[in-house]
Amino acid sequence: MSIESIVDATRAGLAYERLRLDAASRNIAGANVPIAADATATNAEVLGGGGFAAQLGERPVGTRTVLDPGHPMADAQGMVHYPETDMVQEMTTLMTASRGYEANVRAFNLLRSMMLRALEIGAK
Amino acid sequence: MSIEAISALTSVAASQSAAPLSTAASPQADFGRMLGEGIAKLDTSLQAADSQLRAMAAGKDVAVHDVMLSMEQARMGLMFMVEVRNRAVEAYQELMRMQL
Repeated sequence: MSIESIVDATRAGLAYERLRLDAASRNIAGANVPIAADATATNAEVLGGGGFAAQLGERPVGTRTVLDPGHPMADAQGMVHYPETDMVQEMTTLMTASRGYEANVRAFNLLRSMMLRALEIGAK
Repeated sequence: MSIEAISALTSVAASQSAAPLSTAASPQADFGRMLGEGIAKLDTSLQAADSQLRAMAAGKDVAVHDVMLSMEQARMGLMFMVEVRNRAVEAYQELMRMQL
């Protein structure tokens, strides 16, 4: 296994964790943004069906309704619709993505220090 | 980060390896060619890191970890080359010190 392939693995891992953080941040940002009453709410989700070649997609979710007749986006019944975002799920994703990113950086740093240590073989 | 100095080296290494090749397929010539190829490879990785850094500085959508990984990879290659150079110079000096 060459050094390049190990670095590529780390690169893919870092990109994937960043994508997960991207999806979770979008969902948290949109959690309290009202949507039209007849629109279907969507949450960002990492698609890809396994493997690193993942990209951001959208997943339809339910709506959360709040009674607020004075709101400009309230429907006939005075309900305002929001996307149904599972905050616990999103915060967990944030945390695991952050830890995963950290772990990938740690793995790369270890590879680098091993490589530099190898250069010391036979050095005066 | 200027890389012109190193890319100039690759042409020097190529010309140096080309000269002894004409005499015979000696192991010396092969080593020179190998050295030239290694330096050329190092140069491309340094230039890749440089262009990514420039793209990021210009505000393009480049991930920070991509730039850092490329720079570290280039640095590892450079340190390896410096170490090879140290060994070569050491061997040369060892030969020069030999009593005839």
